[in-house]
Amino acid sequence: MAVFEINDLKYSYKKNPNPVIKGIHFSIQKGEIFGLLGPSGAGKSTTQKILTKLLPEYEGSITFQGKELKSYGADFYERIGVGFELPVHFNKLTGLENMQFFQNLYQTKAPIEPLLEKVGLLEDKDKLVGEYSKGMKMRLNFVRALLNEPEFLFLDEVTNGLDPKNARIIKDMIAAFRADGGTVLLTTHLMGDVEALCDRVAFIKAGEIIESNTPKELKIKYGERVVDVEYVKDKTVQKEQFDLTGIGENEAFVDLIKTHEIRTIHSGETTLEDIFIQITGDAYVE
Amino acid sequence: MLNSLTLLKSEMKRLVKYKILTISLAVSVLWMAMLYLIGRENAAGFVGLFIALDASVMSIIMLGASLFFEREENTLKPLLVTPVSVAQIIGVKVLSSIYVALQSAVLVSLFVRFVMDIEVQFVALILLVALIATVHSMIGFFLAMTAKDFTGLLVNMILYTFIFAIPSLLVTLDVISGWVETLLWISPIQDALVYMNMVFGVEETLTFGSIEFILSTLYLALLSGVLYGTFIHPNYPGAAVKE
Ligand SMILES: Nc1ncnc2c1ncn2[C@@H]1O[C@H](COP(=O)(O)OP(=O)(O)O)[C@@H](O)[C@H]1O
Ligand SMILES: [Mg+2]
Repeated sequence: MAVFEINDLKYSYKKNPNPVIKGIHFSIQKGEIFGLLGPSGAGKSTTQKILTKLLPEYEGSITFQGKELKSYGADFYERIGVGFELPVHFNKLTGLENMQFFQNLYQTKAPIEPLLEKVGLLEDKDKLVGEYSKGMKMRLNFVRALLNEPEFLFLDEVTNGLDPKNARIIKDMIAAFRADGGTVLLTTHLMGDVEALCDRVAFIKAGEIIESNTPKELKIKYGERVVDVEYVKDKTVQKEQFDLTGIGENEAFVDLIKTHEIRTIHSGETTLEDIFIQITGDAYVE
Repeated sequence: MLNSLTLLKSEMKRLVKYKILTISLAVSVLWMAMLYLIGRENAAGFVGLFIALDASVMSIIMLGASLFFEREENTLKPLLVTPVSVAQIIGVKVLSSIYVALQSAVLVSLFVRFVMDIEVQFVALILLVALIATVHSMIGFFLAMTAKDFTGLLVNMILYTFIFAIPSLLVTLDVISGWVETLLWISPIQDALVYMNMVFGVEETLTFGSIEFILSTLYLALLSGVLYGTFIHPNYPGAAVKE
């Protein structure tokens, strides 16, 4: 069942008449992690803001659990959690006070300290957020999104500014959230997050969705069916490429691996990073 | 309803943490010291002026600055994705600025009543300070939401204060009178001054039951309502989301 169903969504910011979102369609199924990918300025955050009802004046139709998004009131926010792209805390309150401030506004309350412990902030809970590092603030942002035990999570560039260890912790928590039946919309420009998490992805560029599929299908579609072999000949390393189709009957290939010392063999499966560059035509910046 | 209370409690706690209440207390102490130095004979004429300025200009500054710094901290946005409504968010901000204005007004009034033996109409004081703080909070919202940056907000606040306070000063000094004085009713700062003079028994021209009093009170209430309904409420989400 689709949790979100988005049809022909268009949006322009007031001061700029040029549309930022130009008629996009996609749906998010219950229990999946859906990745909205694209270069900076593509419209990912804008889409997320529309879906979280922060930008009400859109064109097109959006349904949440089968009902028009516009028909929801405050109850909508009891059911979703939002992880913002930038830290959103009171600097002069402690981490714990910040979490209490927001949690008091919800009916359902997840225990705060276990969440802080999971992201490694329990020891710093009584420190002022103003003294937190960027990475600590981003982890607190993530905890904030989970305070009301949401069924749906919006995460905008959630691993932004995290070191690999902490990024891994957050990714594991997102996977655990899905395992518990939760659904996620992940907007990101980092393909590492996507490889690790996303069940389906859509590439957005300049306000249009230009490709949408599972990561695996995308790799098959955009991958080259070739095998690259590195081998030693005359004491130097040489390279050769073979077609993957019929590789077993390819005598040159079989002969090569029989008679030479092989350094590496790679099939031409592309990474999402390559696909990102191919599809969006932009340099991939990490 | 429950949400509003929680939000109000949190907001008050925040005012304590951000030392707003302390600053307001310090300003009250300053007013009291000045009144004490001015002496009993002339203090009655000044206490109204101080409280009027406190409830009007301070409310504008408090609302404007707090909105600004919160936007800088990015804390306005996450509130919009919680079950509290925009009306609740604005209402709580106005209530807490009423509280700050009342704290100051009541403290200073208690001081002049019991230390300097000046008559104070406490019920009127509380109701009118609440009204003055409300309309100026709305003006504070308006000025902050129309300003591009912090400098813009400061310029807006200074312009507002000058445009509305200088004529009041000129009237007090009898430089202008007649129809200009009548026209000054549209200035919320002027209304605040007149109200506070009533509370401290200075102003002879206006009494609580008079038609002018009722009209200007209705006017201030209407001004608050119009600012809220036509500008602040509809534009708040957009202003809060802007980065
Ligand atoms: N508040 C705003 N007003 C006007 N234009 C905006 C605003 N926010 C974003 N934009 C523009 O909309 C486009 C999409 O931005 P955004 O959704 O933030 O992109 P992304 O999250 O994919 O990096 C960009 O061209 C950006 O400049
Ligand atoms: Mg973004």
